[in-house]
Amino acid sequence: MGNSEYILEMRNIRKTFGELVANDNVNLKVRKGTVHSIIGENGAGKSTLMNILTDIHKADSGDILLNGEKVHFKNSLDAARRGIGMIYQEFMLYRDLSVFDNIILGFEKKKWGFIIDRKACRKEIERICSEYSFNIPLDAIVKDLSVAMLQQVEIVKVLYRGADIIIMDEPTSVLTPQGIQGLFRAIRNLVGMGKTIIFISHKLKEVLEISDYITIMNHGRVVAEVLPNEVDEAKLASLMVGRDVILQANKVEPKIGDVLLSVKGLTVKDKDEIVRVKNVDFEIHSGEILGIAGVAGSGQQWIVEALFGLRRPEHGSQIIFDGKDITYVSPREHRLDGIGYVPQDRMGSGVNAKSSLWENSIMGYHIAHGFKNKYLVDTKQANEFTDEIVEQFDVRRQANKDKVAALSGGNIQKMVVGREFLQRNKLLIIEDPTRGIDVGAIEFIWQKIIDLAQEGVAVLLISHELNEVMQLSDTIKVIYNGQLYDGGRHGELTEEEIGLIMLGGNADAK
Amino acid sequence: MLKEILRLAFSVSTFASTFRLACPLLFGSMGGCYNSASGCANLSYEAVMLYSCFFSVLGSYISGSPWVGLLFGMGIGIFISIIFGTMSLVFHSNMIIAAIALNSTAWAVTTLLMVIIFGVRGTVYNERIVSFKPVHFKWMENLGIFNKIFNDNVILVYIAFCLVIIAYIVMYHTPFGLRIRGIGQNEKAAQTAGVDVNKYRWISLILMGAFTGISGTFLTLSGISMFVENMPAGKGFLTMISITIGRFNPLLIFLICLLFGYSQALVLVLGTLSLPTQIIAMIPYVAVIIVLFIDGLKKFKGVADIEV
Repeated sequence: MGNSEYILEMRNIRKTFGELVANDNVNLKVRKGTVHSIIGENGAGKSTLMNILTDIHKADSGDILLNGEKVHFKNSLDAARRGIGMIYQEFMLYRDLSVFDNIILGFEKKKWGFIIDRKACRKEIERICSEYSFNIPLDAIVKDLSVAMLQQVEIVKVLYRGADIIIMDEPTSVLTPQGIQGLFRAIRNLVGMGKTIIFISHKLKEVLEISDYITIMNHGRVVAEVLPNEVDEAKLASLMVGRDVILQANKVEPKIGDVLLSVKGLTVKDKDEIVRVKNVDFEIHSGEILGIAGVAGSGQQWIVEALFGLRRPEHGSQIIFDGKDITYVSPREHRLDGIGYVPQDRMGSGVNAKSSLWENSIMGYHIAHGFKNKYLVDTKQANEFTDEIVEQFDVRRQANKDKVAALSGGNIQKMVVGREFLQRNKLLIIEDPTRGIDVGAIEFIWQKIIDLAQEGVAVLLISHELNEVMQLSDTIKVIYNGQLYDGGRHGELTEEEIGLIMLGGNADAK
Repeated sequence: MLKEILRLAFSVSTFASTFRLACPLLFGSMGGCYNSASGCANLSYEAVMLYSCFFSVLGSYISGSPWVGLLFGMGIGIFISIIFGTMSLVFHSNMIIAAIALNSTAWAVTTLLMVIIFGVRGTVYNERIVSFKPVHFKWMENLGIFNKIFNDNVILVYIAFCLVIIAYIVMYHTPFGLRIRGIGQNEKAAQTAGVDVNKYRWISLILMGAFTGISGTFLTLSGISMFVENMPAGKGFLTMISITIGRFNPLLIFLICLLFGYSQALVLVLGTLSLPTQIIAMIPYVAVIIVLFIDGLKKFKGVADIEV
């Protein structure tokens, strides 16, 4: 034990799913106490490799060595006991349980043989929190917390389980710039205390900032291993995609038309009667991209739900779309009026993971556009529309009848975005359109959003990715604590200035 | 007339029977709440209860001991839940359909067995069938109404009340309960926490079978010592409903079982008045609808609340 330079080695890992070779003789060496990034496009095989490491999948061939010693995991629990902890992109949390219960579940300390020793567990968690400087509300219910907080919960959870190697799958995809800095501080802290981090990401800037070593994967193979000081973003991107990419939105002069959507005095309460959106006013013109930046959980979700008819706003709110009062109409009518919606939570509200790709592709489409036959689903038309999405948005799938659950997160996102973008909508409400997808696809979706606006579509862009809001929006608004603040026109304010408003630093400058 | 109804509705004997009538629901729901919490849509309570009614009578008939009857009742309960588990957890067939199949065959099978073994139809009555004897506590005698309500019940009644506390502790203070609740909310997360999801589902299912078996035994061997065709007559469904409305919390479930027990007690006492029996017989089921309605109102807000 401990006589190896590497805490973890994966040798000649090969894994196939049917005809698809997900991992083709992959070799990975990770040094103890470092941040080792693995980057690659969707479907490059990163997730498969990590699933093999945590024993969710069994490799067809190849070896895993921990501290120079060959190991065979019997199951995921075995991998966890050996000190491998994974933080998934879709958090593995129980939404109705407390943070405390979420952390201990599966690894409870007991007294008298069968009762959970909450005191001992709490002491242990508090020790971890103070040692690694985490501040999480242990008694809060998970569903009430922000994404950034949940991520901290996930980190504390794997630490509680005794992880030495922590795998983070796209951990920054839901965080604000400040949140990302917070996460990076935590990561540096963890590494400083001797933990090893495997960091999986699409975001090259962050990868360059945090990593000690970078492994680049493409089509199931490792294509390069580099040190962050040897490369820049453009170089990494081209290694990853296999061609040159530009990480800049191609912003053109907007063609702004009449007011399309006008929101006055919008106030929304959640089901516990807590005011989440306070007296918000804004207007969107056709052809305009209005971006709302903000820390996760500032009220974005409730604005969108009210706008799309998923939640009743409070008395006195008014939403006028195209001259028609739509404050209290159903989502179905929103669709018929030509409002499209890309939800943030793609698995929860974007798709039905258990049904097929084509069925998901026509959700909403069938309401707004119907089928040639009024009573029966026209499978030909449905498949044509699906193929259009697959082709234009590069959704990697085997067949239209495949279950959506079988696709990777990035591909599902591309499908959802494609579905909404290819319908002839007048207004698009878009939440985090590029969450969890790779640089090539981000470039593509950004271009699509700009093209749509050029055609006269109004776009409401709500993103936790500040850069995305700044790159794309004609008008920028910032949400903080349920209230909307002005973030200037395109390019008027700097990232730091907007970041400050996001944290409430500018609350009186409304 | 109204005065008479109110007098009966709040009489000591109504409350005394409330507790007795809540017992069959209590056993099934305290044993079954884990199964429901683990995310299993198990509707087979009615079948399990009916089989255990029959087999508890058979056990008592063969041996002359209600304890053997209880053992038979629990045994058959476990057996039926294993059949359900084989269909739903091993073959992954639709749980609703599996339960409907079990519920529909239960009546037929028990009636058939009745004819074969006892040679009668409708009701099995035999002096060899022995019930549990009421237990008398001397220390309760001076407690007035409390004495009238609680004293002189069969041992199972007292066990049922202890069970509520035990079920609560197991649900909220043991790793088992925590893991079961976790599995119900996010199966994949539980898997990544190294919890053997299938094992926990099976344990909870067998608990459901065993305790619903006690429910069946209670129906037959708590005094009347006989078996009647389709004996539970909806009590299995009431059990399931109380678990669902109580959201797997044993204390809440307990309150709801008491409410159902009370409404059944009303059926008995009001039956002595010259009211139409059909209306009185409706009371427990109207209670279900009212409870569901109140429960629904509490949750109702806005056009739709998207639970993610």
